[in-house]
Amino acid sequence: MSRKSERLVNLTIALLATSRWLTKSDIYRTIEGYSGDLDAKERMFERDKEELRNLGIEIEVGSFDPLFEDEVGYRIRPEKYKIQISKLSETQFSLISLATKMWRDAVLGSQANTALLKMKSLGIESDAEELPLNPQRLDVSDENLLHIIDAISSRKVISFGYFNRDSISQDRAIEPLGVGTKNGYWYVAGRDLDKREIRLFRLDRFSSAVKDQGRAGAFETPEDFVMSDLLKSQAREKSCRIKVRTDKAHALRKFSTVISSEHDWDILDLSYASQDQLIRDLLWHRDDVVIVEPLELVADIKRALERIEAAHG
Amino acid sequence: MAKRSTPMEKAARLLDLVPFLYKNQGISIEMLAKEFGVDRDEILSDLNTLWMCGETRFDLIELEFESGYVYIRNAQAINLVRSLSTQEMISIFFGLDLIKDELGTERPDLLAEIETLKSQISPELATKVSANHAVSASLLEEIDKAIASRSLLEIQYHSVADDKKSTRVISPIEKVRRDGHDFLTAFCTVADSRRTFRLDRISAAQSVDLSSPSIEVLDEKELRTSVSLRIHGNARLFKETFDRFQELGDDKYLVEVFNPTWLVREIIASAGDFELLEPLNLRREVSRQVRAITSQYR
Repeated sequence: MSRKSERLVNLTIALLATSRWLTKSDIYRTIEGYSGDLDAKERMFERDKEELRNLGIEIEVGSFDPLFEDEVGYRIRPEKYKIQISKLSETQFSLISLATKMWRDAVLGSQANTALLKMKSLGIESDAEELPLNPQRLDVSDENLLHIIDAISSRKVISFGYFNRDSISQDRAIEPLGVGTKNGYWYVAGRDLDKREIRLFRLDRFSSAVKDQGRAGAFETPEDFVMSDLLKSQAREKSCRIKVRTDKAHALRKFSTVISSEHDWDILDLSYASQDQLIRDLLWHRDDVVIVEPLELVADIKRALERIEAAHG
Repeated sequence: MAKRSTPMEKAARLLDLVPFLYKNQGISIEMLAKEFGVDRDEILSDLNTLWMCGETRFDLIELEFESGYVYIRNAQAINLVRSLSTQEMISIFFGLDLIKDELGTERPDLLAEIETLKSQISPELATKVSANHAVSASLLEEIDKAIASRSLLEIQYHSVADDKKSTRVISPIEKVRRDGHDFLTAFCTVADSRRTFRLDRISAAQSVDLSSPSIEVLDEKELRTSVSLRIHGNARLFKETFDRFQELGDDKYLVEVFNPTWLVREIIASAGDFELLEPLNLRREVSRQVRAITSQYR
């Protein structure tokens, strides 16, 4: 097993150190570990190239003489291999250090650690400023997240099972665009290929492992796509007027402005995102809350009450 | 022991070891293993492998680690810090977003540094990630301190079941995570028993100094009520609301609840999707409350 990693490292060194294109025969001759007949060597080399590419190492293919394409050569350009950041300030290092530590024991934990190691290898004082911050840990352990991140970066369509409203698993295919966490839930944003629009999917509602579909670079990310905007757009853009008993419905008051108060009631303007959720939230507060306007919502809540009454009557 | 690395993981680590060792000549083997998150045997195996690598088989990397401290020479060709992978970049972005969220409008200098970092690392990728806190960090710190020191905490809590805000003194036991939410289990001096509090409903917390907080933690002895339900729609919401349930077939389910008040509210809030079958007194309570709400619209 260590022989294979040894060969991968030697291949990387050879391709990085060379100032000219290295041909396959150069490689088989100078790098230890390519054994067997020519076919076996070819297969090993093809796999090695693929694995280095999976590590994010770009291998260039070219030829000595553009007129004679008989034998192609390979090399890795140091400027492509190398990290683009040349220097970090102490504060920047402290921020990255803190940012990566939040992943301890979570699904991106080892990736966060190697990111931090790379920053340390750039040579920044390790006794940098201690930031007076104590952010929450990121404790997601869902392996699907890793797969989704890769698909976002390689722009591959993914498919997965997803529990619908009736808790039945349905197959979904999306062009994944972004990931985020909000109020403790993890979300994936993607263009749903069936519904033909960008939607949010909650990671804990996935019913299967994520699978790739098709090739990399299969779609373009819309230029104006910003994950944080999308998560915010779940925000409360609509508004309705409600009547609430004094000192009741604290959960709703957070999203309301008081218009007036009389006797034991306050009149509030409440902002909300989805109508279904609004009805549920209002019903939750029972007779402590009465909807005043708009009249369509009054009709909706009356219908909901009739449904509950019919079921329990 | 930790699981063995795949050849690809090992190769990646070997490539990252080189620039790290150049910057940290003379680091101890133990320290090196810790930095790379592997055990001593694995890092020794790495060093032994790296020792066999080089530009040609006659021009190998020179490594010295017999003394227990590691020195490297003759590996200039790969003394380069590798570019960050997408997963690595995203791990940083999530962390930076949370720091930003915690800072709010304080420390504009740090906020500016975060933006600079994002654009240095990958401006395109930065827009594809977003994170915020469910619970404020200062509150968490206060709670963690109280758990560690077994001290008492005075909290302001919004009980959704009764829709009441209350101040209570609790003795925090542990934090648990369930269904995307963080909870605090604690001994509550008001209820005189063990209680679970959802962290995002605690609006303030401060430690209180009481002379002898010798509170014994009791077992959960609260009475649970068994309730059968029928689901007419939105089964996903049902499963996300009740973390434990038993399927009875024919869209019927059995759940056990601590708090019937809460249950009745959940049934009403489902707008007819959940029907409470038994016990009958609770079923009648649903009806009674629905009539009370309906009377508000006459």
